[in-house]
Amino acid sequence: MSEAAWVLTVGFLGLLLLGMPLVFALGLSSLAALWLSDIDLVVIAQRVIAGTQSFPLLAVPGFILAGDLMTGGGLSARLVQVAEPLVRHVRGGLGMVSVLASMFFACISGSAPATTATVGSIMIPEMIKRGYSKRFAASLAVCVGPIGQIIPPSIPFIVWGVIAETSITRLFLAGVIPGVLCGLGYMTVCYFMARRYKLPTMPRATLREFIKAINRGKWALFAPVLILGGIYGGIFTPTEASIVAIAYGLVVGLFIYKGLKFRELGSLVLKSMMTTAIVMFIIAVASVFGWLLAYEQVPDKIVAALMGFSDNKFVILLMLNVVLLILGAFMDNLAAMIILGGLLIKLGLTLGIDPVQLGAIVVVNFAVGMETPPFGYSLFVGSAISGLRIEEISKSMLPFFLVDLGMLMLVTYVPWATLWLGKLILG
Amino acid sequence: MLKFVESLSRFLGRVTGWAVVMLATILVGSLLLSVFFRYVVGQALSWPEEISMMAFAWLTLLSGSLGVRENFHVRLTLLTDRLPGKAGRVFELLTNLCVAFFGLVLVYSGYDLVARTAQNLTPTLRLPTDWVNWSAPVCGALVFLHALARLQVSLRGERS
Repeated sequence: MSEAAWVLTVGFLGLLLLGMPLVFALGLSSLAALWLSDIDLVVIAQRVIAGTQSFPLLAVPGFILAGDLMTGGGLSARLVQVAEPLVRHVRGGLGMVSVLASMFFACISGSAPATTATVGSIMIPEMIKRGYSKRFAASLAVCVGPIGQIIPPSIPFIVWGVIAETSITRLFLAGVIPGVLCGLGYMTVCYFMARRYKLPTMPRATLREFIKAINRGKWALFAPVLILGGIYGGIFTPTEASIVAIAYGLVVGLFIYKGLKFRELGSLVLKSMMTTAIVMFIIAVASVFGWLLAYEQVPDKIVAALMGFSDNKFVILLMLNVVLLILGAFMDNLAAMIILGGLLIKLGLTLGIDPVQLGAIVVVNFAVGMETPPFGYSLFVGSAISGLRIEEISKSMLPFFLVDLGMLMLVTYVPWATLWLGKLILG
Repeated sequence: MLKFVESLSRFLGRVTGWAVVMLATILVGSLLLSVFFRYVVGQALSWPEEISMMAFAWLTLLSGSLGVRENFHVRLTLLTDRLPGKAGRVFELLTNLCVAFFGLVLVYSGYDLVARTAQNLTPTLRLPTDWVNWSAPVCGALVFLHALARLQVSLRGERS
């Protein structure tokens, strides 16, 4: 590799480890590389702005704001409550309620930390009250987070769709089967944990209770129908669906559930936009970095080296999973996608993997990275809600992590799991 | 002088916050109009896409600069947390210095971009592309200012 390529990669990692905010580690290492290669610095501003100018990316602030509005308006809480009468009487039922609630919430939210925050803040106290250990409750809330961004809509799938120029609607559909199977796997873990620790079960919900929950939650239940139905019915693009979801969340939150107040809207929007800024500012600055990597042809060199190491598809895919899991544990997933995008696409082409399946492999690996220490947003949120330290939560996460590994193997080695639904619905 | 930088950073931080809320409203509002016109009125509008993209560039860069002030940008503090007090402060200082420097580079690079594209117009609305491109130098200047204000805090010996 050239001098500039070394400065870019090693310089970036060095700055990151020294505690530089990720976005500036990207910016400064790009600056140094531009300098060394004698490229006009105007490229920085040009690429940063170009990094934001993509219509599908507007779905990122769209879904973040829609999720915050629905949580503020009381839709999310009602969606979670609908899950309760369905499974609470089973052994480990309250744990299963958390999993199911996160799967419901995942249909309106595209973010792992938001899922952990919403489900965790309601279900952790509930589980502790019924005799579940605090550690188990917290680790469950952390692990259900990634389901939020595997089941559509999903912010990482949107960003990957933009990077790889792959259909976002198809990528969304690729997440459905892995997400649902992962949820079922978690429920199984809840069952065995409850048997082992002799956790109490709750009485079966009466038909009346069930109807009451559905009735209370009907406006919330319509939100996923509107969002996902709109996208798969070919009516809305994902960006339009997010905007419609904002309007729906506003109307229901202000006038029907009345959880939102007009004068609080400003601060809610600002909070949402700050969450967006963390993601989008990284995407904008990382596009300078990504452009330079491509300019220095770093992806081609790494892929060539990898193929020299082994030309067995099975082995390379396994290595890819290991690398992505480790990176996901240490890095922000969207930044990692932009940095590695070129490399991963090149690798996928060389190995002959379907671009949709490749997207699913990348997104699901990084979704698991949301729950793994030392750097995982869901883990941080779970620790903040439960008051437990990250080490305490991580230890009891192991059984759920095994389910995640199973899901990863499925996504990596069984193309059917990610491609079938897309072929069925979109042809 | 020290006081001045800090109050300017606080004031501009607040102004940026208002601007961000306004830009988000413009973005959502224009896209909502476009969806309404396409599906309800049955006639597609051409301008909302361009307006929303313009708002999005400003939104991203302005809220990004706010991240320096509010310290919400993601960082790995695995190693620096283990440093003793004094070394930790030195690192904090150097970090803020580097961020401020990057802000200056963005001002320079962004201004250069504005100067070079002064004659260009956007495809649909025929608006000057400058309107988008000014977001880069403005963002750079805000990043510089907020990092400078943080630099003073770390000089006074507090850790964030």
